[in-house]
Amino acid sequence: MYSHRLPVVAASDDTSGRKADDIDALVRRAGAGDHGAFASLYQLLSPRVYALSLRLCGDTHDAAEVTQDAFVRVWQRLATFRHESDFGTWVHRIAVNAALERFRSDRRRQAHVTSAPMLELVSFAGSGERLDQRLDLEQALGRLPQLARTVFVLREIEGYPYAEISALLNMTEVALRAQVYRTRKSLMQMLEHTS
Amino acid sequence: MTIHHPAEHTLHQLVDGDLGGDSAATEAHVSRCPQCAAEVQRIERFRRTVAAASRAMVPPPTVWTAVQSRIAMGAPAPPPSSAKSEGAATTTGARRRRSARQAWWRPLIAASVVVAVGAGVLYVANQDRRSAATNAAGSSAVPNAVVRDAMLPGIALTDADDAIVERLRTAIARERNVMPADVAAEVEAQLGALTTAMVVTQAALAGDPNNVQLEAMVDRTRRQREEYVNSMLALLADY
Repeated sequence: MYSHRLPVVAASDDTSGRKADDIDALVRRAGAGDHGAFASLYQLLSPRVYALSLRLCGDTHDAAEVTQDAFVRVWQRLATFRHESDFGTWVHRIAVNAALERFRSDRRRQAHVTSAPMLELVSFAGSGERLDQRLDLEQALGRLPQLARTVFVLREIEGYPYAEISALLNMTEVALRAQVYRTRKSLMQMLEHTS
Repeated sequence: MTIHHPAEHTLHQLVDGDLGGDSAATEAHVSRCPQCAAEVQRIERFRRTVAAASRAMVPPPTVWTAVQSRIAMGAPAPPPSSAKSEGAATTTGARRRRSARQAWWRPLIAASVVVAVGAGVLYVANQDRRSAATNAAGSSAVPNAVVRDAMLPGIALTDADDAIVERLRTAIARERNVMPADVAAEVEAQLGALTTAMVVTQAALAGDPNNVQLEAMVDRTRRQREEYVNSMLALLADY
């Protein structure tokens, strides 16, 4: 039966502290129907997926739904995962697709300012940057139009290659680069204005 | 003499290392042009800020509850690789047991959704307060205990003095021999979650007695738990 309480752990920026073998073992167990293993994978990967979703959506409610969609799909598709690739990257791609599908199906959506309260739970481990700078960046991201935010988050924060973003968004790489530069300029102005 | 500065996007490309073989001329210009050098520094500073952005944010616990509910409601589990051969010939008895378990799932699922909704409303109801606290306290702001409790799963509560819950627990204990252990555990877990929602909401209201949303939530969560217990008792009676 399926009700697994999650161990409470601090969010971390990646799963590097966890051995790849451990994650692979969890994936195999989850793929065999082990709900506890799936809960552990959720615990490990959901902070990154949620951060990505929140930045793409600019809205905590939508981000929560995208995160839900992503992990339900992960569960459904576990059997199709090829163990030679990185599981976290695979989950990430599923989350990006879930977000993009949501955008396509809801063209009326407006850009929202991201909700500051969620940022209280951000992990700041390993960074000396001040909180107010982070909030400024997140808030500035939330003010961007949907497409600009999506391109910027995928490229500048998540580090997707232009070729992959081009395939995802059906845009030329030239147009994407121009979009990134324009967005950078806007964000720089916003951050400088608030500082 | 007119100075021809590189285009702005060229400076971005330079910082990104995307200029390739064309970078030498631009680099040379930047090295002797204070205006362009300042712009390059500005872009680099911004890129450092972006690079330092955290890649992890803890989602609200309602997300996990909803994932579980949605999986239970229909998302097919991965085919158990090791159990495939064992379960290849499904017996009538096994089908009957599964059918009974599915019947059990319906109220359980309903409760999961209720918890998700309840906790979500609670979270929303506290947003303004948390936001204000964050703004007031600056970078060192820590969510207050009530909110942190509401955000974290796994709060242990006791219902020893709650008669209606005890009735359900007694009924479950009586049915232990016929009820699958995982179903009984699930009922307990859902009950715990509903109780958590109720108590956390009450605690939040105690800290903010004028919050009408929280007041409504307290009533709602109490009612939801009672409804859940009653529905489970009715189900047990027919089991």
